[in-house]
Amino acid sequence: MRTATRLLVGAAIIAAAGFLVREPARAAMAGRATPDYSDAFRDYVPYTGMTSTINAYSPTRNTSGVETYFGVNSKWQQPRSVGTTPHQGTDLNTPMGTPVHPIDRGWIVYQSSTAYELIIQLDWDYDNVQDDDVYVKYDHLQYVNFKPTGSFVTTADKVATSGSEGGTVPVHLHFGVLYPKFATGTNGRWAVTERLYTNVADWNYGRDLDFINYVEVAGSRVWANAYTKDNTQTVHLPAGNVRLYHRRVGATRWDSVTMTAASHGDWYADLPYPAGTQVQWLVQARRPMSGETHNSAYFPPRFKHPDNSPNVSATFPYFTATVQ
Amino acid sequence: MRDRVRSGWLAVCVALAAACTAPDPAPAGDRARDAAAAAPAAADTSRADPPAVLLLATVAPEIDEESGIVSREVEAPGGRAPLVRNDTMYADAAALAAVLGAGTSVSLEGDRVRVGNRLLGVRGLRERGGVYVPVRDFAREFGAYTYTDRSREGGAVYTLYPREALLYLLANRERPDEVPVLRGAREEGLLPERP
Repeated sequence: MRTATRLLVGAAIIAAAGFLVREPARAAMAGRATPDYSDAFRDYVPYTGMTSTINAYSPTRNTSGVETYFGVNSKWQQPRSVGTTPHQGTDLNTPMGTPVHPIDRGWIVYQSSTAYELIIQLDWDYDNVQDDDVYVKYDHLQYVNFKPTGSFVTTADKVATSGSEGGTVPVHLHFGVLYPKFATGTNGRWAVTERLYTNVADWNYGRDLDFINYVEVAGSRVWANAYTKDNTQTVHLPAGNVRLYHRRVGATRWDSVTMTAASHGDWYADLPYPAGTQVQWLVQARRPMSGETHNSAYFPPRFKHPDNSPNVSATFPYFTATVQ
Repeated sequence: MRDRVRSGWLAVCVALAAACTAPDPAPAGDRARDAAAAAPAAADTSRADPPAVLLLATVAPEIDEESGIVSREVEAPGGRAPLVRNDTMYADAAALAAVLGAGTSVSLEGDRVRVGNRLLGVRGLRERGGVYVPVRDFAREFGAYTYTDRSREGGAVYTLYPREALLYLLANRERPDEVPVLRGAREEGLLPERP
């Protein structure tokens, strides 16, 4: 029943072509192609059997068990002057002791009261078999061990409380989706978060959670969404800070064009090629930070400490499209 | 056997509390007066603090890319585990000196602790083959901050932040004023006030 409901909701979102569910911000983008959620996950969470989207639950609840949606302090992939750049998850402005719950059912596979971390392997397809290679990490916790490691937990279970990681960070909750198995230590597999919360208005239908998200091409026009959050305040990027890098298939050097700001953090630019041209492209968004050399993020994501131009390194991932 | 260990610890607690309750070093005459004043309260051992954990924070961004810090429990040589009484944690001075990079040569001169050739303004007590000292005061002598988290169920957690860890946090936080450890270290004068 739960699986059926979830798939139905996913199908409904697809049927709504993204625009109905994602109002109001999506209105400015009306006329674009239907977002392809599977594409966004293709390279980063290649979960077998996932149809198009999933509606996860909030990682926090109040003491009555009701979901809460705290403001976002740092988005997934957001360039930072400290720590990992870009950010490997989303930071929520939770007070000390906020109950932390699984974003969906699964197994506690790791928890440490000295690392202040907890990782849950999701039962992504609801078959009660611990074989889905998708994990959610909760960090900077105050207290874990509400349930023994190995426990199967549902969204009703309090699994931790948010904290400050032994005083080393401001009090908040960090959570992020991880693929593949965390034990590999792979840095490049932290998954976009937006796709899990496209039905949550409090988080701008998921877009408050990722620095760059919702990149797509419609005809010859590429759209991206990028902005930062400071708790409840949206901080838009200055003009010129979002660029579309592009090249013909077979070319080695990237050209670029500045993307134009639309509303609600949307940016667009046209691929300067005739129809029928096969091109490769990626989007760069820069968060201005004084004295920081790593202030760029890319979509597709490029971990970690990406250069400020994809021409510096050959390892940047990209999308391929045929200009319409 | 179990009762014997317990009563032994009670004795340690009474003695430690008497020796270490006063947070700051004081002249010898004052110390005697302080010890006498502290004795009645220290003798009340009916209040057993819950078990506590002593951690050492080290800089390790390659392990924890989010915080850049990892914590591990401070080893208790010879079974000389830390203990908490009256909200003060006491631990083996040699173990503390070792993890704080101050060497392992620890001795007592009267009730004052000597580490290497430094005579500290910290009182200690010889017990169980070692010297016990109040963790916060001892750590401060070496520029380290002790963060205490009493909010966790099951007992308080005390975490030692050596100066290297403090400086790392100071250099690697976008909002250092919101970092509890940095705030506390500043209040104790271990870090300069912000300009």
